[in-house]
Amino acid sequence: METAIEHADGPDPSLTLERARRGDADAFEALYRAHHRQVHALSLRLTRDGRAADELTQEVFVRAWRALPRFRGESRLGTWLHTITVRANLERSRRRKRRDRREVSEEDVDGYAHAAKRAMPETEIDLERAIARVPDRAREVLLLHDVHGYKHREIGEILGIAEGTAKAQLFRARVLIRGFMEIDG
Amino acid sequence: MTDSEGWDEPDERTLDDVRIGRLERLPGEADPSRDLWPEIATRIAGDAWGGGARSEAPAGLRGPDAVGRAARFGRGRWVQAAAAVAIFALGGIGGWAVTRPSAPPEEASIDQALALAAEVQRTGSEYVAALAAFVSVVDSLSGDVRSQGRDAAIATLYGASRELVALDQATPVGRAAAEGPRPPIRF
Repeated sequence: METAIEHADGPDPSLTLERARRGDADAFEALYRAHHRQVHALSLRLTRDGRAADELTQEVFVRAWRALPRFRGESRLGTWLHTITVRANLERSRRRKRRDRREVSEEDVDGYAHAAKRAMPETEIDLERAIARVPDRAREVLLLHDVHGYKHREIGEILGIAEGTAKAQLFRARVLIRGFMEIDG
Repeated sequence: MTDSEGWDEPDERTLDDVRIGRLERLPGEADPSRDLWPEIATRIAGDAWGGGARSEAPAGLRGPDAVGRAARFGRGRWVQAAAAVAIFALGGIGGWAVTRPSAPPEEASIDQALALAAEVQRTGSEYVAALAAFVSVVDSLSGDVRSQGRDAAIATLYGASRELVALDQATPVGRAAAEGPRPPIRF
């Protein structure tokens, strides 16, 4: 997966990363500008709420800033940010005790559809509505695999689960989506 | 499609391929409802001066000239962030002023004294300007950021009041300073 910084930050993105790692806020802002829309797309689909997604995106970059000196570049920066996004959302969900809730209300789905249309005007709202109904863990795997293009091995590392578990969750998510879309017609 | 990709029912592949293709074409980028960077900049600057996870101040936000930097950037979001940054920085200076040991008396020339007084006036003006900028954006900030900025601003004022008392406690201004604000936080 190509990181946006590779085509958005001039000839030497590694220099920008190194400057940010050493505490240069201007360089870190450049990293933010290059990556925040990817992070926000995942945040929005994870939280299913526009305001919560804004807060999660901010939290991701604050955490990234704090952890950047320890980022060794073993994974791509975009992957690393997505990992932070998923884990920060997990903590957020646990605080709210809504983890893996089996059903979301139609009001929640409507609210998410509105936010998704505003943030991603070109998206397919019927698909977004179906995704929003998928339980948390299966939705995480589906988003990382089908929307963001990660392999099961990478998803296992990001989510801290076995590769087989990721495959099972993807299968579950796709079956659920098929059912939701057939119900919606 | 293979089992490893999550499907194991061959007779359903065609329809599902179409559906999966639609999933894969969903946008992977989204626009936040507003520019989130100013609040992020404020928070990471707060880290730098508030004893956060990073021990060093970020180079791009370092130093008491943050408001001047904001003007040079000429971008509204930086003005907001840098104003808060300046308050955090000055808050730190105020706290230091409260807790630092008393310096031994020194002989100072008139030129030195005037230069120091001019420095007091310049940094005081910066403090007031930064505080005004912070007040102008405070409604858009989260509760934590707002209270952190407020505490830093009050602590700075308290530090200054202590020095004013040392300067002249006999005048009404000196007495008012002596009875003035108390620090909400310890440095």
